[in-house]
Amino acid sequence: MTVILGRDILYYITTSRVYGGLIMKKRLCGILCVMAMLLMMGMTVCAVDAEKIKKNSVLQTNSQVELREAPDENSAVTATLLGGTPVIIKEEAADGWCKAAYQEKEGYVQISYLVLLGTPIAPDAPADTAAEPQQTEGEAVSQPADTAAGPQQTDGEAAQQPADTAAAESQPADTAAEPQPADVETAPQAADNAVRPDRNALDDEFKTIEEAAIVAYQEAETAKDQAASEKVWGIVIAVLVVAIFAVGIITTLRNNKGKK
Amino acid sequence: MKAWCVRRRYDILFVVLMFCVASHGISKSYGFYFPADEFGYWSHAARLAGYDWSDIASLSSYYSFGYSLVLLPVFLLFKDGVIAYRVAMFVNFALLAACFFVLQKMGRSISAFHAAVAVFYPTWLFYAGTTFAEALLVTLYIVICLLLLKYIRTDNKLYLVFMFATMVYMYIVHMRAVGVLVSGVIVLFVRGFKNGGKRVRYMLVLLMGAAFLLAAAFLAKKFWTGSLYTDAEQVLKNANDYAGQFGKIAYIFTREGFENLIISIAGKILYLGLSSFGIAYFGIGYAVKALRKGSYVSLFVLLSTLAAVMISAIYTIYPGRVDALTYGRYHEYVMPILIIMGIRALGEKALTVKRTAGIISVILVLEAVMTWLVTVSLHKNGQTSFFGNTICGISWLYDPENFEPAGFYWRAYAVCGAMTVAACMGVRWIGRRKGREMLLVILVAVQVLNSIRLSSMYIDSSRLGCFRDTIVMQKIEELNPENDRDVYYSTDGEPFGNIGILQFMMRDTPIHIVKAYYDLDQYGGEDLLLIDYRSDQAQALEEKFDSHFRKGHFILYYNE
Repeated sequence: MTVILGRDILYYITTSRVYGGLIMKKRLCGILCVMAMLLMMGMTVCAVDAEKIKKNSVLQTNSQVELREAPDENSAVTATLLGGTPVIIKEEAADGWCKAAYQEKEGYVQISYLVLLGTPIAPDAPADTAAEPQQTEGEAVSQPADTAAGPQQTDGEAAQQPADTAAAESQPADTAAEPQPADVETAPQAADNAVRPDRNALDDEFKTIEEAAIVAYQEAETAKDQAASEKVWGIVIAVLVVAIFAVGIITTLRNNKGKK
Repeated sequence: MKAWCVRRRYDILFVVLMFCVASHGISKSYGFYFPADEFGYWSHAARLAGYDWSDIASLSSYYSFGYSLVLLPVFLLFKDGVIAYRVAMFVNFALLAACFFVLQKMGRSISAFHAAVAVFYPTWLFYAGTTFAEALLVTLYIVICLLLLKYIRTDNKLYLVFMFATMVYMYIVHMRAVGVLVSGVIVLFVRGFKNGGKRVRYMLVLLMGAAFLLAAAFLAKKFWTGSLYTDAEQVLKNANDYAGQFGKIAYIFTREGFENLIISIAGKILYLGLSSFGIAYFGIGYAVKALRKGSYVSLFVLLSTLAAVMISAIYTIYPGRVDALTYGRYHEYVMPILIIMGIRALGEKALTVKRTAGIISVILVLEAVMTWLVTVSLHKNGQTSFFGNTICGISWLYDPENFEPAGFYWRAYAVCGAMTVAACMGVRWIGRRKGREMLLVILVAVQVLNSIRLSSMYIDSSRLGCFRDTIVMQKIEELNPENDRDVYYSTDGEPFGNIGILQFMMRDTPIHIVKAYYDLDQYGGEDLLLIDYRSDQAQALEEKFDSHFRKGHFILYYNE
């Protein structure tokens, strides 16, 4: 991610000579801000300690990672998990790997890809939206190689962004000049403002639901393990009772034989 | 080694079976089944280990500290609450395994199968799966019987000293064992007077020693109430104390009280018969017969059984719950000895089939009368609430979907009556010849099955709640990694609730109590506030705090 952004910045620095002006500077500032945010997030997205990885605990992946059949990078991939995917730990960590499960898929994952649940994950990696940003990343990486396409794409982006920015910048002026259009123009903003708290509430709600789902999943997994354990012990108890009975019969038969 | 293994094959197999029964439910254990009681025992251990849980301890009544001495090493060795709890469970099962061997030491005719039938009694297996003091109490009672037997056989005073010490300790474990202490003293004095003055002098010296130990126990109790139950209300503190029983004794002298006492005693005696499939009654008969021959152990068993039944009957004299009428928890610690005696009685050659059938018929008629008395009380007082864990010997028949109090007791009578016929006739037939003993394992299997059913009926439901409470604990630890935020619990809703579970899990974080609703205004900022999940304070607190986390028995309020 950092590499990609670095290339972007270099690209914009070089292209800013061509396009110049305020727009490109703003864009550069924006990217620098995003980078700073990511660096801050990166501090929290560090991997969880191996000691904290306990059986049946739920952790999440910090980026896209493969579940493998064996604790070996060359072994077959059983599933590919996107960043932010909650996984349940099936076995405690050993040699930098641990066995984890997601839904019905199980496999080994490197513990460096696991973080505590609730740890902020880089915005291009969340489970449900990861597909699109990943494609963008792919394009971005290919950009420097495809030098011809690069500027065109950048043009497209740049063309859109200034338009947005311009609209945003022109708003106060428009508002001052023409109240009516200003109303029209500010309406989306007002609506946006009105929507924002709802979005936050929605985010909170989703977070709560996600937490509840994770706990429910953890409970279900634990219950499954407990039921399996109970079943095994139940069988052992039954076998033991039969064994005691059998030992008793054998002893009696032997004693009777001895008497005879 | 091989010869030893062959010789002790049944011992080994039964101990392994005990271990398997212990392991069967261990993976589900996350905390207390009965929060107030179990927390009471652990809080003494925590106090001795230097932790201050007085705020939570003050919410419940006083619990004796004898069992805490067993829990203390477990508490000190295992910092994780869940692991400590599970280890304590294994200690309970180890105590039962010890009982298995101690019982066999009581007589050559007591085989591993006899001891197994006594030890695998479903109630013990059920309680050993919790941190109740029952497993320790039954162990101590069996040890006392063995020491008395050894003393009478050998006249070695060391046994006497150990017996007195064990009786005092048993009393410290639970005050209901006062009957054992009094019975022991009576039996020894009777023997002393009968056999000469020298022994009486010994008895007086020992009695003084026992009195000294009791005085020390009272002082220790005073220390606990002063340091652990500081803020507890007097009425609450006295619930398990003598002070809480005086009203009940006065109630006996009223007409209604006397009637209730008779029904209560009938219920307790009924429970002994139903839960042991009639074998305990044969045990009582055996003890009476042996008493005529001058057996002091039988006198002790009879006196302690009578005392236990009376204490249990008085403790539950007020009509309250359905299970209180037969409340077995307080008097069934005598059961293993009665079962052993019952098996021996049924094995006696003088007991013919006709005679056995006659006794069983009398037992069934008496049980029917006692069941009728219990149902009369149920109809009169209209009890409906039911706590199956206090009558484990019969509550495996409890069907929550079709529960009708009188119907439950009649069903228990019918099923246990049929089992009485089968078990008593079966044990009698087995006792005729030595080679049939292994058939007693069928009875053991039935008991194990009943105990598993009991656990799944009563403990499993609470275990899920405990598991969820551990998630609340994890959340608190996540919010309070440096342990520098104060944790409060508002008692609104439930007087004790399950807060003891959290305090036990988070031993290093003392949970403070907020007793009144209006006090809640003082809390906020960095404070972490817990309330019971049923509390009606939830709405007001949601406005006061940024976030809340609802899980298990609690709602946790906090500011980010």
